[in-house]
Amino acid sequence: MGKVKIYTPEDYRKHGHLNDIRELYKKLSEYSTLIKWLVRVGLTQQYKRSFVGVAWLFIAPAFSILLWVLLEASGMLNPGETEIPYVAYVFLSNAIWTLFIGFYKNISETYIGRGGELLQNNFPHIIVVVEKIIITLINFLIPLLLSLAVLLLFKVQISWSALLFPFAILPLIFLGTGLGLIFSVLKIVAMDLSTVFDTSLEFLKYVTPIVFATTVNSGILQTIMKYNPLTYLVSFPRAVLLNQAIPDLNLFVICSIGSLLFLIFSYRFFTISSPVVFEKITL
Amino acid sequence: MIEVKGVSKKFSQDLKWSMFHGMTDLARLLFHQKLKRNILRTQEFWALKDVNIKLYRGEILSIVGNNGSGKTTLMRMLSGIYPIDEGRIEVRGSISSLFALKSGMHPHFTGRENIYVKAGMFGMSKKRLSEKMDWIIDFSELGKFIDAPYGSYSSGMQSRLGYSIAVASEPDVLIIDEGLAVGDVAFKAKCFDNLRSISDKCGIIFVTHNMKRIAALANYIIVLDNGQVKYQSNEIKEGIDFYLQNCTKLLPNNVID
Repeated sequence: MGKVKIYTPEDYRKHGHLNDIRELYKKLSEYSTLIKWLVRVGLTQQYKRSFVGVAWLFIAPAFSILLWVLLEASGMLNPGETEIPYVAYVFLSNAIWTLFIGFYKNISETYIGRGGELLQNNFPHIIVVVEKIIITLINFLIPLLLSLAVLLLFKVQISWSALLFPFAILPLIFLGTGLGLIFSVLKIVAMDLSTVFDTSLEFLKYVTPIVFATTVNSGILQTIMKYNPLTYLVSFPRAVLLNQAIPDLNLFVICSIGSLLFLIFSYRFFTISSPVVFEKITL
Repeated sequence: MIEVKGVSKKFSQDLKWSMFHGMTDLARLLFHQKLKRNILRTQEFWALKDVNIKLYRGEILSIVGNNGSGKTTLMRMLSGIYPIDEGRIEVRGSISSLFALKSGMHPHFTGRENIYVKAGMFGMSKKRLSEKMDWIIDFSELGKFIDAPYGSYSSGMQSRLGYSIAVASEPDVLIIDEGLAVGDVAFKAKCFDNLRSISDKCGIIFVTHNMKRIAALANYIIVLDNGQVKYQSNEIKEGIDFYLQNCTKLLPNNVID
């Protein structure tokens, strides 16, 4: 005889305290095999019918890197002299930005995309979130490693400080995951809100130094960038990887702590609210 | 094994109102307010009202009722998928529930690969699954097709596989919601035998519209109508008669005759 489970209408009030972290760990270890299989399925299912199979995971990013290299070679992308090859700068910025957006987008679709599975099978919802975190990380690491090779090819000096990179991107991952957790719930009942947010993310990209550097010649843009926490969260890991001077370490640390707190808050929000609105998914 | 006391569940008829109530619920949670669980708001109705059920080890409980009478809703609440609005549910031990056959299964993957996924959803560990793997393949009688893509299976083959995995997870309570409707005669007979043989170790709940199967298998019956338990007893025959009479009331006179 296993444990006794009791369901009452007041269940939602028990969730969400910090000792839920222990609960989370228990769930993760109990369902570790399922996570492994869901990741495997999620990564490979779109390539199942191809002969090359999972090799596409590497071929597709390699092609896009090749495109960048060709554009660079043709001189189309050279807005004057910059300290590092502009192409590498944009490429890396884009990769970091895509990681952030990827975490947000994938996790926010937990219920909209996989609600049916969760409605028909009784396993913790957080398992799907963890699966998505792992898949997003893998999908990021493959192009990152390839582009590192390209950076070496362009003779960009990669120093020891690059080893800090995995830690430097953690705050961005926290932020993306947190936003994803909150919007996975909001997408069930507040579609208008989440659509507005999705659209404004496009805008956010241009007020964060992704395509342009912070020294861009526009007063308003510069002011917004200055107050945009993403500026620091994106520039720090990039500077670490490219061995540039580190801008505003203090602000980076403050923003990092903020994003960690935000993740804790959004996990709490997710555990409390998702069981309440989950039933509103219509299949 | 299961004790259901005064359980109710409400749903919203209108999608936009449903979304609106969802948002107000979120706002209430955010400001630590109590949810209004026990009253009906605009456009809401009771999908289940004041349901009391007990299930003991060794019981095979059959739930009958018209479409939309709340059978699946009740099963989802027992499984812990839906939160409940009133009352209390107590479950001793693990539950494996078989709802839709295809959910959680991936058509491009082989039957064998899908076993790993589905068994994982039932909470089986790697070790227990490796002990049970041969039994699942053997019981589902899929033979060499176990390594064929799941999407190429007939619905009967899919139901064999789903049933075999659910039984292999050795739950304390097994819930089958229309899961066996498409199997062939031989396989159904095999499932019956299997259900009887495992029923002394666990409680079984099955939802079906097939009265013959209920008469042959069940030892307890519950008739649901409009979200309320109208009849419950271990007199299976009387229960079936009660249900059939109840249905025919809805029909124009003498259609059944």
